[in-house]
Amino acid sequence: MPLFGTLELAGAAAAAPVMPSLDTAPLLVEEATVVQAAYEIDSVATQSSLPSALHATNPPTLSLMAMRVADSPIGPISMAEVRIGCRCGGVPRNFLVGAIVAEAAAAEALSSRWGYRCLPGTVAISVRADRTEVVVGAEHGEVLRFSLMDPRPLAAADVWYGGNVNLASTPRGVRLVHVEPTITIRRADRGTTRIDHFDPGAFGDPLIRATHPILASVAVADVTFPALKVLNQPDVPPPLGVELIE
Amino acid sequence: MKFGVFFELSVPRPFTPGIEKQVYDHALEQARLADQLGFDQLWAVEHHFLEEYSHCSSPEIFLTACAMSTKHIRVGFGIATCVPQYSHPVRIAERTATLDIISNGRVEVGTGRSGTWTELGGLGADPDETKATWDEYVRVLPKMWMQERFSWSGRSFSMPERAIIPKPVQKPHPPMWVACTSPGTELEAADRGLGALGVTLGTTIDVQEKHAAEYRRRIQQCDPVGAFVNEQVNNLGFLFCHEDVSYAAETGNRFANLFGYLGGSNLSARQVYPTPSYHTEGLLPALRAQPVAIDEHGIAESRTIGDPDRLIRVIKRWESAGIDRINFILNTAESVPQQEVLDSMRLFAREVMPAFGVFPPEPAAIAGEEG
Repeated sequence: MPLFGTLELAGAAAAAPVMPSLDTAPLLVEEATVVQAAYEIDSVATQSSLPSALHATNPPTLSLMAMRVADSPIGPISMAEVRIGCRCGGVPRNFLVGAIVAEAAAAEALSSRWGYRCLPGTVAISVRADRTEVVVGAEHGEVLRFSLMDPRPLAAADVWYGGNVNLASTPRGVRLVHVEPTITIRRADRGTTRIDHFDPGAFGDPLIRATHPILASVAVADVTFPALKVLNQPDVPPPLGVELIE
Repeated sequence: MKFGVFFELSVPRPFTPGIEKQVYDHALEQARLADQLGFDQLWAVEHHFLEEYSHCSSPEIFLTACAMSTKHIRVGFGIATCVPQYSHPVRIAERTATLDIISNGRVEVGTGRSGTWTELGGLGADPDETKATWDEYVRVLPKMWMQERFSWSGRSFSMPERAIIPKPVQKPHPPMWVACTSPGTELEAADRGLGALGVTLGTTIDVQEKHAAEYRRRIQQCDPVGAFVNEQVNNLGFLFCHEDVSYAAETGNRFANLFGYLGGSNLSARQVYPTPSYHTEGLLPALRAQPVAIDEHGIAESRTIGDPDRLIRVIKRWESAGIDRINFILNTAESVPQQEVLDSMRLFAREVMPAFGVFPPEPAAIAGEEG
């Protein structure tokens, strides 16, 4: 069997957001700018970054995802996620290490309804003809700056988005919450990617080390955060430990 | 209907000293038995870096060992990866021709382009280009085998005139196939006059029947890349045959599901590399997308797992769906004891294969009296 994660759960659980209910209504966010960049990361460190219900992809991957929307039912959203590519059983997922969300209302909704571990900060997405740049700041300064360069247009079907598993404290206890937003692309580009600055500790995991850039995409898309359907016990490898939400 | 075996050479963790050798030794023993029992063909994959799932990165060497220890069974590259960063086309032509000589004309040449970032990224290949390079390779390989001297000016490679040697025993050249994992690839095989080497597990018989029919229609108007049209549809399945259907279900499903689980750990190109070139996410998502009927024993309707009667029924259905051959994965990561794998093969040869007109060339092998 693959090597499952060894994340020390008690510490991670203490930092997990609290979800008072699992009865979450879908949320449609229209015309969001969505930037996604993939990198390979150090394999040894990755194992200690994942809970024992999950195992890393081969090779281990880092997914940086940023989203900006001017308005939505929960107000404007500017967020940047740091995620580790993983498998929950055979299901492709990304384990959310942490998300910096600029707006307090959006952060509160994302954490309480979908289990996003939201941290305060700033997120700026700059889309230019020759590059798209994402700059993320926290209390102590800039914590992430990455770019998509030389954009080339893509068809909507060419881009793939993986869903999240978010560690959260739920009414059933600490669980991995499966969140697989539906992303309907209006237009998209892809390009090479580069990280200029990354402080993974600011997102909650100082061990992540990007070793090899893969590719990035930027899209204008309608994003639906879904009703929740599936949870996993974070310390039980699937298919055991899977819980359905009726 | 013909039957074959398909080797991924999956290796269980922990990777203790000797475990890879055990996997290879067991596979070679299975190959020898398959030959004695009347299986028509064996295939070996080419995969790189796919820990646990497949430790078969040099199939030409494994296949040579198989050829040297068998007499009748055909030996297939399932597949030779037609991407420059994996192999120059000249090297594929040379390797396959050499094995054709050593095996005395028993080689089958499957072609494909790889689907994982694990492999493509590791070898520095450009996912946008693999379809084009595969297409170029399948067009030049027959020329390399048949022409006394060969030169080329193309997209993925160019070369001055050279004698590409040795030449294969089979004339005009060995049969060529395409690995069909993405919907529509069977039509690309048909357009080129190539065999459809189905390597997608778990699809329903109805879906495969539709694909096979489309392939057969399309190949009637093909522009063959080789010297002949190889109109054949191969399918892939798991084999576990046992008199006790419940035991067969438990054991067969266990290793089949483990195979899917290990395969799902690999990173498909689509998941990290946005491109028009890869529109499928890989094996597991494709399987999950299809509703599969499960019988009263808990076995998916299309799976070749069960007692002999069930297997005959399932394979008859595959046969009526237009499938010419089924290749079987026999084990995953040593999760089934080798003796049970061999017993399963023998029972299959004794009770199932005769129903399809296949009889062992060495009957004593059925009783476990093979050399």
